[in-house]
Amino acid sequence: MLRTGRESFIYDLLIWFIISVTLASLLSAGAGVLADRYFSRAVSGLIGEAGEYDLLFQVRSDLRDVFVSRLEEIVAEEFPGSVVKTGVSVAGQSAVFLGLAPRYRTKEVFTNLSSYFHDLPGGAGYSLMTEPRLTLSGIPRKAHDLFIREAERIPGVLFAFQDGSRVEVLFRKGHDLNRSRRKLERILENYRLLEVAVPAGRRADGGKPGADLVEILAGQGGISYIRDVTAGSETGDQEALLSTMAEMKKFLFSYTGQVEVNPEPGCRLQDGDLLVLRGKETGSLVEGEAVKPGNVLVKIISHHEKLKGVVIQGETAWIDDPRAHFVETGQKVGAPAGDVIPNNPREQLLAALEEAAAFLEQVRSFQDLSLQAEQVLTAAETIHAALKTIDAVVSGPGTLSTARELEKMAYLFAGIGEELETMANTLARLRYFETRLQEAVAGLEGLQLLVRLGVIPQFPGVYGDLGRKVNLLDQQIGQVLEGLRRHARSLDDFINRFNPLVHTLLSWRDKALGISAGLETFQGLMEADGGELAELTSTSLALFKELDSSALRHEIDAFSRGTGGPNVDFGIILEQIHVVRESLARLRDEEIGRAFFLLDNYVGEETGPDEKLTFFINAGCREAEVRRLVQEYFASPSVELQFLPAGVVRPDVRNELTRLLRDVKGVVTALVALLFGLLTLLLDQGPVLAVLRHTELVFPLPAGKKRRIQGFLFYKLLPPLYAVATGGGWFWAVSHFSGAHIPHLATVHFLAAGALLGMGFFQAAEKFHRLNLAEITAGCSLGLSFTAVMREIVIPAGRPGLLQLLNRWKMVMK
Amino acid sequence: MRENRKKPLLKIEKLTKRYGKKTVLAGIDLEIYPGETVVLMGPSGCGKSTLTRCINRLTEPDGGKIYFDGRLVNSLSSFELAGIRRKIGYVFQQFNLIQRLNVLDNVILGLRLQGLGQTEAVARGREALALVEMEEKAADFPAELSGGEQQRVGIARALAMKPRLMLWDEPTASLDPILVGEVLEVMEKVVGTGETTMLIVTHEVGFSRRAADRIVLLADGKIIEEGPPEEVLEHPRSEMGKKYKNLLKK
Repeated sequence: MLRTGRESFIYDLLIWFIISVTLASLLSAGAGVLADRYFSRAVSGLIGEAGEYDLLFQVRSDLRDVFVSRLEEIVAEEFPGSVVKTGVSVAGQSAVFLGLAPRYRTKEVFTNLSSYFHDLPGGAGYSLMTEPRLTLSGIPRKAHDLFIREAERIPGVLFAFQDGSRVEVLFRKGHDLNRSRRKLERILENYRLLEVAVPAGRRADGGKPGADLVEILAGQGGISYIRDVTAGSETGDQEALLSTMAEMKKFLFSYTGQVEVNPEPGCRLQDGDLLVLRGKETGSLVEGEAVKPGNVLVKIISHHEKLKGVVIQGETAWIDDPRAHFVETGQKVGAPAGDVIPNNPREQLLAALEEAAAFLEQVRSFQDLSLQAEQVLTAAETIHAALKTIDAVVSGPGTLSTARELEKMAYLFAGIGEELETMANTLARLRYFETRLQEAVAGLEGLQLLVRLGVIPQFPGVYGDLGRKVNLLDQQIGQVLEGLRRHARSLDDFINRFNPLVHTLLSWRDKALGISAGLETFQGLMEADGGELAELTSTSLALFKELDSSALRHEIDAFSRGTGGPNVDFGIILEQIHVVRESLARLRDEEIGRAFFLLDNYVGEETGPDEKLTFFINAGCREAEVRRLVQEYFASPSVELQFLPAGVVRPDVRNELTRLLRDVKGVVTALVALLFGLLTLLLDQGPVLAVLRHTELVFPLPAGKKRRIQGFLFYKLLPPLYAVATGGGWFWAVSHFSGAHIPHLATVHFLAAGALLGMGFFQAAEKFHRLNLAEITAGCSLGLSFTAVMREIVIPAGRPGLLQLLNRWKMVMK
Repeated sequence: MRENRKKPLLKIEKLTKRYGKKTVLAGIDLEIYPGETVVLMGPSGCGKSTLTRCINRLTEPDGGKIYFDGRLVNSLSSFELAGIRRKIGYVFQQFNLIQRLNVLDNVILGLRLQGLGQTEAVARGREALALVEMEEKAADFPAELSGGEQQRVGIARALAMKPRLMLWDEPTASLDPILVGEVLEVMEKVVGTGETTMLIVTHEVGFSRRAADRIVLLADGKIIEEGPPEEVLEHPRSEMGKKYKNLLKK
């Protein structure tokens, strides 16, 4: 049957296997070594030899010369003896290295590095390159001191220092690195970070949760060490973004078109339900029909433990039929859900803005209040002078004998009447203004509240011109409000002072009107009614005395300066109100609603940065107990706790590169090995595998009882088994001996890949190698053995390869 | 001619072979005696080539027994079978020459691998080539030869082994009529030496009439008539025999 001696073809195959594996391993490993050397040299060129440099500056190529010049000045001044070297330039950035002289490799220098290099041209930053070094990252800044102390206790550590958000640990020698790394990792394992995420609105009012929780948790739940390391204002960009988005979400929600839903009896609404209302479509909603563009769609959300609907299609203003239906799968109208009451804060704000604009128009007119007050005062003074003259006549010894004197008296009476009329009218107008002023103050207070409600005034820069204008509007409204409140008080006081005088004067006028009606009988009248008029005149003059007209005039001057003075430009305010009103009017309910849900999807239950507390605690605490205590403190089961690693030890750049290069070397080796493997299977094993598909011809089995089993073994099992074993074995051996390595793949994967390739080549062997069966049959008919057939007929007819080369030594018919 | 009528060189008993559902050989019994030239005739697909291939187990029979020189060929291991095959020469319809070897090397391949020295093998090879009148083309490669020449090299390759039995599987079937004649001439010459027992599969009635000691007619995997040429071709009992008789007359 199959012979396996030294003169058999099996022996040939064994020799071939050993030699091909050896050659392929050497060549693959050689390719890997070449790649490794090439890249190692490139890396050394880029970042220098290990420990050669301490700092790497990345600087714009066009500023490189200026930068190097300034850096050299600093070095000459601060670190004489240190080395500055310019590295390669890539993509407009140049690398500049600084190797500090050994005497400057001190904790003091490294801790204050930023102070030495803060004024370099181009604002170039630097990266630490000192080696040997390990970096601890992820540790909260407030716990850096603890780790610096702990790290410096490790033998071999030169010193440790804080570098931005990291703790850098420098070593005396490179071989301390691995041992020390394990020690640093053990230190980190002794601590944990406890993050407490408090959902918005659950923050304890007025309390100090950080300090409170430190007090509560200390000594509880296995916590023997606790430090509040919550980041203060040092929030990252991500947190700022989240915070802004959360605020934006709140802002948008304030302006969404909303509905209150009164569910049908027995109907239960849930967060996320969609309801449809008729909207501007004609005809009632019919179950089963598709939702139309004119319908109003609202989405149910849970807000402060109440269910509300937010309009996501259509406008709140379209809702004239309050009956709402569920929306079923396929955007079909479903069963009735209940009645809704529309509520549109945006419309309310628009109305408030309209009202405010109207108020401000009136306030503008208040600017002539001082003039009117002046008129009142002038009228009062005129009346006062006239009354003095009348009083002198009425209470004097003489009589009104001449026509001229009578005429003068009549003129005085008429003048007083007119002035009094003017004064009364002006005072009535001032009273009206006073009322409107109070209303304007109330309206503006409401407007200011609404303006301050949104996110725009808090982040004016983010919203460009609109943000700036809204912010200015808020300030202007504040000024106007202050002025209006003051003037309302002054006006009230002014009116109140004149009130008694005006009443008395009006009585005097009533009497005087009777007198002026008949000048011919003035003497008689004076005799009859003069006593009463004289009394009223005296009372009036007494009231005039109480009225300090010079003080009032002074107040009016102040009033004049305050109301609508140069500080407030009503035109600008009105213009800004107009801009805000226009901007709001352009937004539609459905747009706001959709924007709100978009933000809701992204922000979800995220908590703002100020709603996250971080504690540094010892490892091994009882998490469940700690969770319970924290949730009890906030009185909320939705407070989330995370127990995180205290930090990680990161390898330095060179270690990373070395690891990367090792991977590159392994991958290059594996690829070259794969190439050799494919060539081997194609050139050397192709003919062999093709013959193994015709084993009946080359391995005739004797007739007998065992023939069926032998046939199965030799004809069915052995050929594919050989292919799998050869492919798998070859790849495994080459990968093993050459050091081929692909990240995430183990040696067994090479074995499997080789086996699969072997099987694949076996299946397609006759496509790769066209076997001449006539020649083989001839060889068999001449009584040639399998070995002879392979050596003399099959292998020489194949493609040139190692097996053919080796076969030449064994061939008889060369 | 016949060395020993009582002891056949080749004895076939109830030989059967099927390809799938088709029965190609349906219980063949045949004896060939040393020195005898037996011509096997029959229509295409009747099992003639399969019968010759089963004899040296280039095709494995399904049943029956084949004895060569008293040894049961069916039960031989591949190693033992190789020894028997060296004693049975085989001339293929398609010549089956090794393309990478020249004419002489094709002829001496079997000899060299049998262990014969180069000189002796070459001498025997040239002798065989002389017999088939191809010694002048000893250095040529098969691709440079005509079909008739290739077949003569094939005959020389078989003869060089000095086989005790030669199996000829329609040696002229792949040749054009002009070349058939030169091959038949060589065949008659070889048969004329009387040194080798022959089983020849052919449709050449004239050649059969002249060269055969016995003609065996095969149809549907069975022997339907056998006997001396004058009996089978001139007084046939079977319809097949009558057809060959008519062919002979033409």
